[in-house]
Amino acid sequence: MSRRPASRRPGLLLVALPLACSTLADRPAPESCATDKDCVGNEICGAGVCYASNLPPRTEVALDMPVAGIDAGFRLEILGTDKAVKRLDSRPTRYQVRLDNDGELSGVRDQLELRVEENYRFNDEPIPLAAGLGLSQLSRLATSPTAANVRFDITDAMGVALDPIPPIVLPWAHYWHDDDPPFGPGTAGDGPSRPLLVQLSPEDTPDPISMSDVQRGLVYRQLVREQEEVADVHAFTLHTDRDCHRKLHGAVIVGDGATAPVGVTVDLLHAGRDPDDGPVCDPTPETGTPAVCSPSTVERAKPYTAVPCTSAELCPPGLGCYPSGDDDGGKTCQCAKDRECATGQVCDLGSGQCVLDLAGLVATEGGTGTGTVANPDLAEFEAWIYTYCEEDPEGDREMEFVVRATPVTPEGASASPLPPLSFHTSLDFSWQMGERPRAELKTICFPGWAPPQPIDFAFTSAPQELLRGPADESFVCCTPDCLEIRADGVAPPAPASCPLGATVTARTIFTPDPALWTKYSCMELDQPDPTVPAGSQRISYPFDRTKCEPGACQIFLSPGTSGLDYEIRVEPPVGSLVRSMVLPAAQRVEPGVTGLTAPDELEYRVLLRGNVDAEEGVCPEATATPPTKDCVKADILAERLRVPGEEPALLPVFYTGATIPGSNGAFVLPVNPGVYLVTALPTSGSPGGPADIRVVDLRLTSKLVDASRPIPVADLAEPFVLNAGRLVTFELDGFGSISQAAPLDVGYWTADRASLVLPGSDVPLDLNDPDTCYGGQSRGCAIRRLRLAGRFLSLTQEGYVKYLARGATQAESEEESQ
Amino acid sequence: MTAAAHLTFRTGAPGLAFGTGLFGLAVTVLSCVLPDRDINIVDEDIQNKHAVRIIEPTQLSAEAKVACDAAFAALQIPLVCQLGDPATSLPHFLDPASKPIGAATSYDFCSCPPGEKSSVRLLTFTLYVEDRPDDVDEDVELFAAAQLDLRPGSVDPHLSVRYTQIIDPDDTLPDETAELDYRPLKRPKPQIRSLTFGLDEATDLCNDANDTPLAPGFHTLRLIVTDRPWFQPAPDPDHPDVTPPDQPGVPDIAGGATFDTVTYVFHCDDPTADHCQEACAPPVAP
Repeated sequence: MSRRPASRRPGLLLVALPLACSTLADRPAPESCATDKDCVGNEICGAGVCYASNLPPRTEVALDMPVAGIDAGFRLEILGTDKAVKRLDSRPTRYQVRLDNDGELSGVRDQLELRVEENYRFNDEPIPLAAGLGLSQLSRLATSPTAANVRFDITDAMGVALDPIPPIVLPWAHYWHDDDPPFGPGTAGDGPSRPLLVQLSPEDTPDPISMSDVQRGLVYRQLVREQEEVADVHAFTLHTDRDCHRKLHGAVIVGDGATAPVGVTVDLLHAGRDPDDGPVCDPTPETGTPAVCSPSTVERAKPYTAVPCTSAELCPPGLGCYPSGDDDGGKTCQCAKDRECATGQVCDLGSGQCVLDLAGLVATEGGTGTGTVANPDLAEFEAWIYTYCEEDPEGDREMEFVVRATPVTPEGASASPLPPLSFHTSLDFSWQMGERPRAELKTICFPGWAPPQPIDFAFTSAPQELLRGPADESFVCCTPDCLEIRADGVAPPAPASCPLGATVTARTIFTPDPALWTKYSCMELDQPDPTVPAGSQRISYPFDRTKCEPGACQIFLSPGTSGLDYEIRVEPPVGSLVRSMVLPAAQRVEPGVTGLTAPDELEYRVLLRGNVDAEEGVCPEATATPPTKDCVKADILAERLRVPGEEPALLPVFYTGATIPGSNGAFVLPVNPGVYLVTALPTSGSPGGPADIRVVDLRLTSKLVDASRPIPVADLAEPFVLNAGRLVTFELDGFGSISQAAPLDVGYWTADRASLVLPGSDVPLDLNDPDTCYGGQSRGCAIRRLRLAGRFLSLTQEGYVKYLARGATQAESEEESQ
Repeated sequence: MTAAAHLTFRTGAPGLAFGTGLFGLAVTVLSCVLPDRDINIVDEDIQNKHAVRIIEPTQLSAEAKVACDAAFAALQIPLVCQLGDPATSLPHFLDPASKPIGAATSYDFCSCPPGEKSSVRLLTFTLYVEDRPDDVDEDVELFAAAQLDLRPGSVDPHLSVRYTQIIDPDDTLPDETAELDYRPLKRPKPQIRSLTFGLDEATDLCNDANDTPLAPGFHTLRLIVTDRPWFQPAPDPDHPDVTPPDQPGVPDIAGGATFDTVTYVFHCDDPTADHCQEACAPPVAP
């Protein structure tokens, strides 16, 4: 109860005296409503009455739950618009999600029951097969994919056969296909658009009949659950065929026929076809090897049946209505183009079904193919490949692979003596009178380079003034970590110099010797990078030197046969003042070279300086001047935007910093020049909600950047304001206390899209789009997250998660509308 | 606000008798003239007419619940029989031998070796606090503090304040009046503030109170709320310019403050206990 000066209103009494004769004023009638649209402002309709609510709209709220459930956690991604999300109008007004079904109300937890069996031509019935299973699924919120590893056992821990053999039982998120978010990969519904991929790693076990050792390769399956509105149990038996596991053999040489001095890890990856060259599954392509397209890669709860149709509208989302090929001239729902299939799938033209696109998937067991088996001259290796031959086990099959050869770094050494290389090849898997002869790879050839030699990496820069404090104290530092406004007005002493720590990446081009390549029948090098000359390959050596001791910071590079030129990328970590760079001149490494040539002067990042303020009422009134403690404590987030025409950004592309202790909201964040999304989130326990997201141009040409100083500075005039925000309460009904959630802002920023544009553009930025920031791999902008990476909300005693989202409170909205 | 909807009569102690007489006359005259809703009578000497109160929901019989529902339905106002759900309220004795319903962890907390944290934690919980302002359009400002092991005879209770990273005694409690829209039956609508014990993550009760873990054994956690800023001692006469710091956890009773408390008893197990050896580990950096 605050104390307010009293006022007297005698005149009011006189005026009011003759007005009326009543004993009790009527209560205002409640505003009746049927839907939210019948209410004004932010009011919502509950039980037929409009009332105030700060709950944000469904389109703006999302929870990413890496651990959800009770005893066995699973990944769950909730979008406010999901059908499983209910809005409860009882107090507190909240969204509710149930873990399990409640009558017709859908839960969010399916149960998967998985078995693995193997067909073999000498067995009448498929037999259970012990295997490791790696399950993965793309994120529906455009964040990180879901992954889980489980194991299907046919014996107990003592090796005794189980009878009956229990299936693997694990929870998995259930989404109704109409709930597909308006962003992220795929467009055609939950199951199809984000297929659940299973990598089967069968155990190499003795054959129970012949007792001979049976080895196997990796097998991929996609699980397509029946689309049901409520969560359910989905049982799958994953069938493989022993005859489809084929052996391959290869050899490794170095230089002119020398033995590899270290082991080499060899992985085979399924090669992909360029989709611009026509349908991926074209059985007779104009060039190259036909892709492996097998309907058996998609495992359905019910067998696939062609659905008759008369038009595409009658077909499941994505599929067209095409002639069935039968004599009756009828049509069925099927695919005819790759784009009709979901992400990760291609159209098998023969069957008209969408099948798994194997491109890029690792085909050999966990990279275990090695080249350490000594032969007088050659190191050999063997590996097993699954050929997806189920429809035609006895047919010959040609498959195309990328072969990744990674030399092992010996224990105690700092670098491998051989460079990592990748190759490209096709293999013929033939069938001869019931036998499965091993396929022969061409030779994996490495250059006979001299071993890597130590190269000193010892760059330093001068400390810079980051800030002047309220007592005009000068903070001259190497990083913003030194910043703390003290009551005595004293800044820490300036260091003499700043040794640079960074991730150092050395890149060079390897061009094979054609004579040697021909002499040893070497595989041709893979060419994923079109900027590299034909026949050559770029080799990268990354070194984490962010924490090496000054004076003992080394990288290790080979001089090749007579010297090699390296391009050196130096990417200091978040907090460093030094700008990420590619060293201007190529570094020539020859025998005897011991150090990198530093540029004459290291360039600095742009110093982004600003303030975080709190909306009026968020902080209590300060009783002392200056305030004795910070009310505003916030984390500052800056994420680099992709700008058309700009060179791909060097790392880092996502920066975090914090407000300066004692400054009541000031911050300093050094970032590489570029255009950024910037925002502020209150630290845990601080009052207020997230600040708005802003586009800030921090390129050296920007008017905001003062590039005349040794270290460019951009002072933001407008503070980031921690608003009172809108309280989001999610009731997680039935979830256990192990559950964790990270809230995401997937839509509030669309409210003011005119301000969220790249400089010089009027196209609103879509932060859910993986191409907007540098997330890559189907990830949207990380700045959508309302908690720092690694920070989560736990369930409360009431089974809620509560957080403040962006947006105006009810009262503010009403003021604005008046 | 319209003039007719809000009238304030003020009285003071010196002229109380005379004022009361005038007031009676005025009421008599006006009784058939003005709507009597929102007429406030202010005694200038009584500046805090309403005591602050921590609300804890209580179990209702089925009949009482039906009666409450019916009464709200008749008035067509949002149905909130009582704030909070008695089924999920935190018990005052956090029995280490019990396992909360639906929870994976128990109340069997652990004092860990220095530098380590326990995975057995107290889930974040919220209490509601109600108060009424002295004037209808004023906002209340409430403060709270958490006191650990407050001794009955303590004369320095402000030194028992702990968990300040969770409950900052200098911060006012956040306003949830609009969100909850709590309109109790047959009494004035109060203003509601929420008192949340816990941050984003659950609280490691035995290791987050101090720089050092709590001693194994039973402890008390006392939450206190007040409707005035905490008591602030008068300056030392020898140093009149130096304002002494306030005393969080000590209500300013001389200044008219009211307060309410709620106490929880919890147990910290020894770090050598089997389950604590499993629960204690160095914190993981995000």
